[in-house]
Amino acid sequence: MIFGFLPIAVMLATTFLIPLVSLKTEKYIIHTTLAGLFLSLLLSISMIPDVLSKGRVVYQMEGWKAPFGISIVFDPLSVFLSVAFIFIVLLAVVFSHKYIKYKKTEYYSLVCLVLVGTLGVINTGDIFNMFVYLEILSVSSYALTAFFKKKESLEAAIKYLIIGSLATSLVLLGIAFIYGVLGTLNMADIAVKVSGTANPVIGTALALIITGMFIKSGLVPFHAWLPDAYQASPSPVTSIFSGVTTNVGMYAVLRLVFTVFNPVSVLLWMLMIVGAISMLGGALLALVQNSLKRLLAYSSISQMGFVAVSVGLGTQTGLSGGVLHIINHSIIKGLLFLCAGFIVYQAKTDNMHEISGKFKFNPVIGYSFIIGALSLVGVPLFNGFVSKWLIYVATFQVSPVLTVLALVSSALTLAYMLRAFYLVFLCNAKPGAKQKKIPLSMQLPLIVLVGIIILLGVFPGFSIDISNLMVQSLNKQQYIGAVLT
Amino acid sequence: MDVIVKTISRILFPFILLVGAFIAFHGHLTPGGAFPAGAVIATGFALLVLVFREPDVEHKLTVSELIDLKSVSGIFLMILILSVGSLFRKELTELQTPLKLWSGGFTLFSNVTGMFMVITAIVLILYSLVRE
Amino acid sequence: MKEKNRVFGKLVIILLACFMFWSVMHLPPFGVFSEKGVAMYYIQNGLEKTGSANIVNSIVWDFRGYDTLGEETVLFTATIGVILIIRRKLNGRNR
Repeated sequence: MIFGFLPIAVMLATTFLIPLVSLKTEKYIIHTTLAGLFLSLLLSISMIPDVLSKGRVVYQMEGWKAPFGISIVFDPLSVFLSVAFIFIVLLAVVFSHKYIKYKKTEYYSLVCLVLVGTLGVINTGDIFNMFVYLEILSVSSYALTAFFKKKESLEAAIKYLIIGSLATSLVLLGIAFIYGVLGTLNMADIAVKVSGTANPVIGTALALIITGMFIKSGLVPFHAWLPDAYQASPSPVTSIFSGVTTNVGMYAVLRLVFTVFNPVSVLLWMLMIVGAISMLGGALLALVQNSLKRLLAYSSISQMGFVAVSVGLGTQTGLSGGVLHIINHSIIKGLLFLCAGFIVYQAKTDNMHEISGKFKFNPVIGYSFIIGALSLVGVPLFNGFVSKWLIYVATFQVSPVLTVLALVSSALTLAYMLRAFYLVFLCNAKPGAKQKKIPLSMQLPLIVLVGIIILLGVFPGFSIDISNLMVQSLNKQQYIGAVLT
Repeated sequence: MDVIVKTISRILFPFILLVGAFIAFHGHLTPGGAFPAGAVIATGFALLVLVFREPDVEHKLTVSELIDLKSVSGIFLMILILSVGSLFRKELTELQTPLKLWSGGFTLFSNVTGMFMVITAIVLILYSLVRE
Repeated sequence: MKEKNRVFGKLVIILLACFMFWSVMHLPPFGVFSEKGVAMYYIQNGLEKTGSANIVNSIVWDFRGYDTLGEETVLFTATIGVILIIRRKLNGRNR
């Protein structure tokens, strides 16, 4: 079988088709994009039974044997993450049908390219290939940040461009070091060879790559680009950034630390410290924001901190909590940013104090927002509870101090989400606030996401099973055995 | 621009195209390939844009044509690399003689298609930068 | 205070540079590459398996063709991004 790359290939073909479709009219762009996304989602889902029965499906691109060509590895981790990410992008595209009114060709092409980059990074088994697709993802994100061409969005895009290019060049330098020492780029081959070498360059290379990936996922010492980029970009794009692109960095860290290299204690300590700082720092900074999207952006940093802390524990429970929190966070933040996008679309402003009067309470948006907020805090019966509970348990087994920090951050999460909810929805008693008709294409994604949040929260066993499967796929020996047959 | 410059660049332009095409078509035999070839041909277009006015050049070779060319060559390249390259490589290399122009499996086609991707990319960016 | 921060930043950068320099010293010397790596395979089998005499081309388009497709897509992305940010409209299309 050589057709495993089909989800990526379909997205790539969609990207190339969009400019051709818009040759005469822009009417059919949304249809093309949605068709491509649906096809890609179906292909990804159809891969799940195969992956679950075999544990790991490996495709050698162009038929070259493993270390010589590029191998694409589908394991439960990558397949479930791909499904979740394609789904988030699909809903964001549905949302942007009425939101984006001009430059549709470029917009939808770039959104598809973000997804191409994400799928490429997640499914690859080759570190240089990971870099190439990370570059696609980054370049399209820079362009999408500047979509509105206002002063602040251009400034945010330039900031993102400079910091992001620094990150990708660090990653490239690390990959070059690894290739220089080991002479191979295949992840499984590196995993075999790295155990026999005691060269300090490997450590430096890993440090460079992980720093780059931390910058990409916006953890606290490297978070300067994130709030600006989130605030300035169009809201569906923000939902994609928060739900998809920042998680790619965490995925790469997981894969590199646990599968390719060995999880030595220095790395785990680094993950835990950076995670704890961003968990608390993000939450504290979110408390003082006046802009709704900026608040959610800092909250995103805080949740990525949870993921980093949980992953840094290195235990089975910690890993499954972290991996599950990636998926849950992308669902919840997808929902919250779409809500924020709707509010900004109606009120024409981002400042929470100014929103109050300009926007009439709408049940769909209001309930979606409060459900998302509670789920982000980790209230039972919502999906955020499952992963946060796993994180608390895992941190308690290793060091209770971290549990206290996580609980404090959750309390702060409750504080800032309630503040946002109060400012936006509850103190707008002004009558006569004008109410636009809500298009169905904007309501539908919110309803679907709320449904998923409640389903995953009411039946936690399902998601815990999935997260355990995903963590098992990080096993080094099985990975090497499957790729280098 | 000066009439001398115009005439010279009109004469020079086909040769630049020729050099680029040579680099692309001989990519699998001599140093070169899609990226240098595309860059060379794009410098030819840069010459045209600088010597003649940009709107005149853009009138001959419009942005939408370039984007369509880019998309078509992208799809073609994708099919070439993802399926044809892995399915028919062996059969194709058996038909060919090594070290002749007709060799290198599908590398020849990839080089030419990749060249179009590079040309369109550089020319489109050039148009945008010169106009605004 | 500000001056102190600047000195601290410079110190950190110098320390990082020393660390990088120290680790780069351990790289294999120029022109020496690991026999176990993939490079030897490309040199020995490149012409025979792909039929192209230019080894660079056989690696770029054949052994690692998927990467090159990604690079071409980066070009596509950059073009679309530049058109999105700089141009007011695509001409020839109704908008």
